[in-house]
Amino acid sequence: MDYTPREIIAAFRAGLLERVLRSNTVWLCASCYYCTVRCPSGIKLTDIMYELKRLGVEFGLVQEGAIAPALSKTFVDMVDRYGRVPEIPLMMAVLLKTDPLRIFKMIPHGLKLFLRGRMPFLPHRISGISELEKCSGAMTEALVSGLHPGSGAGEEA
Amino acid sequence: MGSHLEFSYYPGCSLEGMNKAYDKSARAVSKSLGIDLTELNDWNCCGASAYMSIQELRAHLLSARNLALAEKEKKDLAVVCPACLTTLTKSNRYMGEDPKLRRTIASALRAANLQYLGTVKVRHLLEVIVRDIGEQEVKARVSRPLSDLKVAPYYGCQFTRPFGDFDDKESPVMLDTLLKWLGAEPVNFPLKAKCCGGMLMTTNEPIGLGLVRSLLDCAVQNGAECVATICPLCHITLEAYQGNVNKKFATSYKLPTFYFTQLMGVAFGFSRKELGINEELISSKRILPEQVEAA
Amino acid sequence: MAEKIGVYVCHCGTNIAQTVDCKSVVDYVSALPNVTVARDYQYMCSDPGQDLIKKDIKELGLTRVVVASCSPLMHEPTFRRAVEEAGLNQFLFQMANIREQCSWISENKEKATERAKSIVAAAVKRVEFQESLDVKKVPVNPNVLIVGGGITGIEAALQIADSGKKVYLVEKEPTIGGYMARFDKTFPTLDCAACILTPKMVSVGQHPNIELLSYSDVTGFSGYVGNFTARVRKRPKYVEDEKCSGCGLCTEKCPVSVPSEFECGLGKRKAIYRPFPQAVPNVPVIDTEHCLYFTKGVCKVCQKFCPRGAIDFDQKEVYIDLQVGAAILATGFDLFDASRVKQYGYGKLPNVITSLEFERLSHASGPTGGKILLKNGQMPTSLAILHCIGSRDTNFNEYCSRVCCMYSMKIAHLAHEKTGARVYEFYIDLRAFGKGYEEFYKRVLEEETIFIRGKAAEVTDVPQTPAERGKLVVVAEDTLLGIVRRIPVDMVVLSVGFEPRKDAVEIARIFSISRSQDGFFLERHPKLAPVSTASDGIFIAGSCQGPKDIPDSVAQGAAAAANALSLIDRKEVTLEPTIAVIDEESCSGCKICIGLCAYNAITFDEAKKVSKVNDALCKGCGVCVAACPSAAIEQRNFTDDQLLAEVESVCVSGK
Repeated sequence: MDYTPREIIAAFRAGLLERVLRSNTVWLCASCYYCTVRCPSGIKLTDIMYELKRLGVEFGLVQEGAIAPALSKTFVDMVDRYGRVPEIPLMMAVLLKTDPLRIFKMIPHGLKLFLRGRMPFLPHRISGISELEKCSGAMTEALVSGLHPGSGAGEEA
Repeated sequence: MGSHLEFSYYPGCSLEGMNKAYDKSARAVSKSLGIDLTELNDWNCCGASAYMSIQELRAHLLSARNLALAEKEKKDLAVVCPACLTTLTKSNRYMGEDPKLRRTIASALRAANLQYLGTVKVRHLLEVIVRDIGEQEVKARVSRPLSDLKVAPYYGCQFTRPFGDFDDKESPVMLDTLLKWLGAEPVNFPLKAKCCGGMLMTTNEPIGLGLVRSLLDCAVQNGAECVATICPLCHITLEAYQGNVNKKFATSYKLPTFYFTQLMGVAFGFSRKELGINEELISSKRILPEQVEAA
Repeated sequence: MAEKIGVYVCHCGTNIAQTVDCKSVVDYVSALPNVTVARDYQYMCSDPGQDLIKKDIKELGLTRVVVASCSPLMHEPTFRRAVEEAGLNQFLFQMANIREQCSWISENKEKATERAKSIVAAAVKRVEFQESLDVKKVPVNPNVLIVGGGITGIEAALQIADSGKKVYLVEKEPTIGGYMARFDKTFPTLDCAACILTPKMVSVGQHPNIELLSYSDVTGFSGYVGNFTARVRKRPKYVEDEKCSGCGLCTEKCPVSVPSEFECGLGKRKAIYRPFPQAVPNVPVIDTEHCLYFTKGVCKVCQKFCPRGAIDFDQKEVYIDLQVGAAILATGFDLFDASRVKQYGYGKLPNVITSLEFERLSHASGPTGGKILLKNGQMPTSLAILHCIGSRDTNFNEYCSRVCCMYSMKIAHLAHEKTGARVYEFYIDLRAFGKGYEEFYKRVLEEETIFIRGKAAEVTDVPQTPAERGKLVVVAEDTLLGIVRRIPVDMVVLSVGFEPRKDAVEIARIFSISRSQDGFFLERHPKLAPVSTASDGIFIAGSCQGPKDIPDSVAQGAAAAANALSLIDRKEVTLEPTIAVIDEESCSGCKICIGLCAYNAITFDEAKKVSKVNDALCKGCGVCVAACPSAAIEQRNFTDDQLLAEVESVCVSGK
């Protein structure tokens, strides 16, 4: 990681978060939660990393060439559209956007999986998808109107 | 005979695709043990890490809908994926602790005539089996003990971290215990709770491969003949990329990788097909008893 | 006859006068019934201020006095003394707090002045109902009980004994010496711990004024300041103190070897044993759990060989009661259990040891004869010392254990000296606060100890490179560099923190003292009264009050001794008469008060079937007074009449 947890906090205190957001650190975090569990000061560092991810996406400050933001954004699109995430379409969409050549590298894998019947193609759209949309809409409205001040930045409709 | 536990079953998105075998084997052994797993109707994706990385409140909303649906059924949620476990538990807990969050989500749920009062518990199937079902009931169903099969019990990150107070967060033992009940020999595996990298295999392959390599190396050094997992993502990461690891590091790993429910199913007498073992990418025929083929 | 009340309103410089219009208060008060005189003055607590009061008492024949000034906690004793000196009983005085409860919490002058008037008027009404009370004086027993024979208890014992008073020193272990007896060297002077400790231990053993009760504990403690009774249980050693010469033949001949607690389990002792050779008293004890005679009825070799016939298998435990005037608790600490922090592998990975285990290895009479050795018998070529294990951690203990940074540096020094190994210290901060401590740090730096600023994240034996094979790898972020480092070493030493002893809860219960949130004994005031407790006559010293090093422990031991001597040399103590009194006629014998009394001050008279307050033990807390369903208990100087008068005054006056 370009910036360690202490450096992230020092950068925040100094108003220099931008350098952290542009580094590889933020999207390297795999949410393993060792930091949160071990921190002697009880800081929920993993949650802070999620916040940094959200800030990076909101302000367009991410490491150049990073695939992870694209993966997460595509994931979100799929959940919003189908309510569930079909893995292969997700992979394909992400790789197409970021590293199309890798799709060729993955063909042997794909073949193996297909031959063993592990390749789902059709995304399953849940019937409650419009329900979810309604809920999201209601939440955004409430946030915008200030009725329920939510936590966290970057809440888009 | 024995117990009758009822849960709303939350398989999670990855069980629909590449990890159908996990779903198959989980249902099979749960039925044997008297655990009623009725799939939660019309459940939505929990969002895992990806959604929380983009939207915080909507991520909690995803969990809240599932919890609200489960609450209507008056049953707790049983999951087999630690990411689902952690994501749903996080929302559950945070809503319980933060009134502002609770109110915000409640107002959103109201738009769909849903409500969540905080009564649902989210539990991983492994924990349910080890703590609620227990040794006697499990052992009673073992018709084909795994005769000292050396298994590396791999927990991954999110089973005990951060909310899993039911087992040790540095060095959990639940899966080791279960494996012993099945007659297998869980090997000493110091990296048992270390991260496999998960999504990093896709977003940063060099790092992902390095992590998997350490895990495979440690398992093999400690004499493991196979690995048992409790997470669909860990399973894919460990199983599907051994070839890539071998290419990059000039190693020759060919370690069969099981879902823990598959090993349970073998011990209980189910066939390879019933447990989806025939869908494996690395053959386990060498290490599993002959009779499994015949059944 | 009507009372003659004198009221004095203090300006307290500008503390009160800035917000309260004192003249206006004086005018108001003068008009109240029975107020003979009302004055205001700059500083009532000063000599001229007090003289005002005394003069008025003598010349105007005042029968009651009210001073409106600060909190009674500040100057009630001052004014009570002044009043007594003028010939008026001190309990015919009442203080009205118009500073902490008025001027200091108001910004509005008008409202503050009105409030002050109300407060003073209430005090004036109350004081009319007050009565003369006499303080009781009780003699003080000059003996002192000291619980705990570590360096702190030893220091306190010697100070008091040297002054000519008698000390009962009760020690749980077979020998005094405490943890210090187990250390090799002490920082920063690198004195050999035993060399500086044993002379003091011997002095204690030989002192005519110290009665050493070893292998004993206090099971009960009752009474009140100056007059305590301690019940001590002398556990059977199965060896007679007076006959034993300390020759050690019995321990030589004993066939049973078990892990030694003194050696942290790294070495062995016999079933009949002395914890270490310079034990005081130098009398072995028999461990009945492992002794062949006690477990199987055979052997008795020790008895056969003892030249003095000192072994007595029939010894029984004995309870004795000691009368003392004061008690000092110097019961010490326990070390944090490193196996709780699983990521460092203590108890799983060989060659991960605690600081105390390192001390034993380093000690010349330890299990390895003073050599630092790995489990395989070889010397380490590299060693890592991990700071803050179990301390400064919300997951374990939040507080800093104060001594670990310094002892870690000492360990680094010893490691250099004895092994020539490469030594690393992984720290968060370096706390080198004492005399000579920072200089010691420089010394250890010059010895080429490698300090890495970053708490160790974990210790693992899973190698990532060939260089790590067969080693313990310490993983830590070097925060000054901002990179994660993996340092392979042969041995890891965990600098574990201090914790309250496991029996601290029990000891606190026996002596009726409080503990602070971290579990250590609670001092009366963290800054101004570190060795006294809220219970008069009971003092605390050393690490039982909080983690501290040897110089501070000795200082506290001596301080507690001074406190105890001060109490004893007063020859008598004054008991406050503002205590609870039970009216026998009204008492229904329900015993509710007995259960509620935190000081065990109420007993039941079986003959009369009523409860009775022991006026020496009663602290006047008021709980029983409030709880009594028959309203049979009254508190002197806080009677219903007095309190209701105050309340009525405030309510009826409407201000």
